[in-house]
Amino acid sequence: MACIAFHCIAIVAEPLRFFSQSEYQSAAETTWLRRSFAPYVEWLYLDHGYFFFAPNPGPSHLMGVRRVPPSDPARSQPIHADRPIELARDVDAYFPNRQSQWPRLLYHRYFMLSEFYNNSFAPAELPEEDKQDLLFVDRWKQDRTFYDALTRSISRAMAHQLQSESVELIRLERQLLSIEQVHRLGWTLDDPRGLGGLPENLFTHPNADRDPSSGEPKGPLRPRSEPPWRRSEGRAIPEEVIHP
Amino acid sequence: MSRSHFESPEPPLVSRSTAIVSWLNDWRDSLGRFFLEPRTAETLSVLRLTTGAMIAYIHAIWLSDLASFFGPDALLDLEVTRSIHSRVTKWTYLASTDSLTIAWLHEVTAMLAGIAMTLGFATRLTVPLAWFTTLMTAHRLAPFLFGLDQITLSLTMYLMLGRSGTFWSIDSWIRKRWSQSGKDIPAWARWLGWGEQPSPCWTNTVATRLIQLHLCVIYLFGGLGKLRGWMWWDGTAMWFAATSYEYQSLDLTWIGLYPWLGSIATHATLLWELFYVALIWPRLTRPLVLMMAVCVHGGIALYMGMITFGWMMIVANLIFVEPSWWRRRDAEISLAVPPRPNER
Repeated sequence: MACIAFHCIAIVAEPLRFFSQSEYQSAAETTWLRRSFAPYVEWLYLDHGYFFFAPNPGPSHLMGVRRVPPSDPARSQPIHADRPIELARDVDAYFPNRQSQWPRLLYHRYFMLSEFYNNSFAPAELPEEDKQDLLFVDRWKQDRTFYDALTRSISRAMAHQLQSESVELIRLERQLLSIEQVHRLGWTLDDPRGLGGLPENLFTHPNADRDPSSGEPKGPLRPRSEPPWRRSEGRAIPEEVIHP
Repeated sequence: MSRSHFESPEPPLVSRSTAIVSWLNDWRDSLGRFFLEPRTAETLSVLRLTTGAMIAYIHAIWLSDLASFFGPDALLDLEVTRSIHSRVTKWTYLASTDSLTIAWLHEVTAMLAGIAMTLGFATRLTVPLAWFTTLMTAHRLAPFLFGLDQITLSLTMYLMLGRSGTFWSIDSWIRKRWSQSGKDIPAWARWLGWGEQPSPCWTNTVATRLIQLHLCVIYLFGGLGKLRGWMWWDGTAMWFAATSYEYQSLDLTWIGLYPWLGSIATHATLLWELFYVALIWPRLTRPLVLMMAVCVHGGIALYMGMITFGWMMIVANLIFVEPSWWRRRDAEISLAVPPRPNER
């Protein structure tokens, strides 16, 4: 019975920790619980928060790949969020791609990778005011190092697949369309107007102040996709709070 | 009127402590029955059949594009994998080599283990092998995973505990042949699961209860997570989830013409997830909760392109079907099938 009790606690350790963290702190007792069970929970692959389509269904993220040097002059133009993107015209390859990735489970594997790549994003540079916070800078450096390694790895594989000297990876975001956009304005779900490039610099996105579902202004300027590293009021949360 | 007219006299301290001890004993006995009362393994065998097939399919997909997932030109090289592992305990031998041959051997072994698991062949060996090889792949390819891998690995882990090979399996066929021949089953055959009897066993109950509790945890936290989002409150979550182009497999945009329908579906999903943990246990509400599970996961499978995930969640929910139900269905099928000439 002790083993059963141990396992039952292990099952809830990760979701409890996941739910009890905010931008300000993680609850001490759930962090302690999760840390105590860490090897068991992690190696048995029980470390899930079970956040399926929560808190809200969000935009999807794709990865565009361009050959460098470009194989087509049309593909040398920079990709912006305010310019509709036609995948066949603007990139040499992208994923997830229903045409080339089949069956559906294979497509979904690539879809998860592109979401992971987007979640791993850390900007190339920090604004001056954030550089004063040493904890925040330290966290950013770690995340940027990982993001760079991830970019190198995927780029190398894609360059090999596309038989190109090197490639450029572009993060793309497909906005959620409102009922009005689909039924009144006649947009299709894959409308190029719903697809935009995400910038390397987090704070200059032209549509950053628009709600992705309604297109309405949503208040203060903020990134459309939350970075994996967290900040609140310009202050970083210590590393161990996020990754106990 | 004095208080003594209304209040019973204070019970003596000894009788109060006796009542507490008695209550604790009852509670312990109930818990013991819940987790350890022996049961047969028909339900676990159904889960073994389907989960094994899914494991074989998962590895067939990895094999179909092996060079993108493993080897020197993999999308995630060893540096990235080790970087992910530097923060968490995710040891896998697949992170120490980028040999495509080893990856191929590993994936083929895992696929064959999945097939053997489905067929119920040497389940004492093949179910743990399917779980271990799938776990090793999961740790190597973590960024490619999603809910399907979570539920498949969890089910396989619990199936290792029970005697899932005692029904509808090659193991049970071998056991019958052996017992008909009158010979003793040798020790090595017992290790493969050929000596396991289909009689009730407490390990089946432990496996069943752990799957049931794990499902309750998944739905409870899934529901609580949704409570944080405004789309689940204002009834638009169904629209936004179903019309995400990357997920969509069948057109569900017509739901936007009937906003009340989308709103009801959103709230029904939310309430079902939140209260699953309570309503799945009473026999009165269980069929309703299971029907809702089929509707929600069937909808995900059909409309949102996650056929594998939707299917496995429906399969996982079957754990709440009593073994006797499968026994009755098995008996009905046996009666419906005419006996072969040599059985008359």
